[in-house]
This record gives sequence, structure tokens and C-alpha cells, in this order.
Amino acid sequence: MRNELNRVVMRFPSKSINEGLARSGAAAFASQLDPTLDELGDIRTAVSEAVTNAIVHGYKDEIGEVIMTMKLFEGDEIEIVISDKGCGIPDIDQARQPLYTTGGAERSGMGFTIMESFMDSLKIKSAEGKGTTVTMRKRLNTRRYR
Amino acid sequence: MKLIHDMKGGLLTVRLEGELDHHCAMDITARICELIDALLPPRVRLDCSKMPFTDSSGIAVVMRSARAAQGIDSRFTVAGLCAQPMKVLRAAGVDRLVEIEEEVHI
Ligand SMILES: Nc1ncnc2c1ncn2[C@@H]1O[C@H](COP(=O)(O)OP(=O)(O)OP(=O)(O)O)[C@@H](O)[C@H]1O
Ligand SMILES: [Mg+2]
Repeated sequence: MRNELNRVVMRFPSKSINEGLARSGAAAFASQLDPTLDELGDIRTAVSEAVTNAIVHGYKDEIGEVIMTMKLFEGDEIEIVISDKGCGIPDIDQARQPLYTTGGAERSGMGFTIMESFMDSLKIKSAEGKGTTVTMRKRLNTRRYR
Repeated sequence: MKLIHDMKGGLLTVRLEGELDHHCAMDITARICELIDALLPPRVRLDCSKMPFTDSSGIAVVMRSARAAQGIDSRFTVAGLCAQPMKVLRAAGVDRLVEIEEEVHI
């Protein structure tokens, strides 16, 4: 495991108004690496997906706490961990399939697919009735090594 | 997010200004569908040139608006997409289902 250089934690209630706040927080944290606009866009998108999932699926019929931990590692790598103590995911492999959704007409089942393709790695840990933790990593390098 | 609309010569232009996410998506979809149902335009353009960001919530907004237009036999296009929203819509294959215009003609 690489050396951890910095860490910021955001905790907020699962209200949709906080989706934009979480994106801005992640973009501000990433900005210490002087990212490109594309890299910032990728991080903002992935964070928006994971936080929205916690709000609309995890805490479907309740308001609970969402915790977002952002870490900076040696080697220009960022890790973002987003967790909820909501309903959990019964079948993670199925949930990761493109177009799979339990969310009805407002959702399209593309969130995990987008997180996976916009970040370098995506790990999902979940237990029914206990909650879900999503860990995403991305190495920012396009500007530095251009 | 702000929604501004304009109806001229059979063309309904709906311009979205700001970031599109789950927080505003339901309201935006409802308003676009209401406009289409009320004005019955032969042509609908979703102008995204002032929308720097969307997440997957925007996929459903575009697809449901397109379906509402299709329901009245109206031609539906998305115009002026910035890089990030384009990447999200492409990841979901929306560019193969909905006509994307390269530029906005005002
Ligand atoms: N935090 C979570 N808690 C409980 N269930 C979740 C959580 N995140 C995802 N899921 C489940 O996994 C499914 C797939 O999630 P994904 O983000 O890929 O698609 P979606 O949220 O349904 O649609 P979209 O993200 O395109 O709007 C969800 O429909 C839901 O059933
Ligand atoms: Mg989702």
C-alpha cells in the first residue's frame, strides 16, 4: 500500500441537495494534484453516481448518513470511499450489470458502469440490511507527464 | 438548474442551464414533457450548451423527453453538448438512440 499523504472526510444526511456539494468537495480535494478538466469531470461524475445511489437506493425510504472519505496517495493517486448504512445490495454482480436497475423510470442502471469506466478501479462491499461501501481509485497523470 | 423555453415556427427549444443531477432531474423531465404535451411542437431541440455537467440522471431525462416527442410524432434532437455530458450519454449509448446535433443554431 502506498503512503497516504492527505485525507478529508465529508459526512452529510442523504438529502439530494448534497449531491452537488459532494461533487464540489471531491473536485476541491482533487485540485491539489492540478488535474485536467477531463480528470475532474470523471471524478465529479463517479462521485455523483455513488452518492446518488446511497441517497436513492441505500436510504430509499429514510434519511441516513452518507460518509465520503477522500485520500491522496503517493504517486498522484486518489481514493474516494462512499458508504451508507442503508438497505444493502443482495447481488453485487447483478447490480454491476449495465442497465440493471431497481429504480424505475427515473433510473437507467448505468451508475456502476460509469463509475467503473470513469475511474481506474471500483470495489463494492455490501451486506443486506447493513449498508454499502463503494471504493474508487484514480491515478491522475495526464498533465504532469505530458 | 434553470430551464428556459422558446417556441418559434414549430420549433420548441428547451435550454438547460446548470448542473443536471438526481436532485433536479424529476422536475426537469416533468416540465419538458408538459411543454411538449401543451405546445405539440413538430420539432423539439434540447439545448445543452449551458449545461456543463450531468450524471446518469440525465440519461433518463433525455430518453423520457425523446419518448414524449416521439409520442406526438415530433423530431427530437439534443444540441450543444459539452464534453462531460457527451461522455456520459455516449457511455449509455444514448447517441445511438437520439439524434445529437453538433452545434446550436440560435
Ligand atoms: N448504495 C446502494 N444501496 C443499495 N442498493 C444499491 C446501492 N447502489 C446501487 N444499488 C443497487 O444497484 C443497482 C444498480 O446501480 P446503478 O447505479 O448501476 O444503476 P441505477 O442507480 O439503478 O441507475 P442510474 O445510476 O443509471 O441512475 C440499483 O438499481 C440498486 O438496486
Ligand atoms: Mg445509480
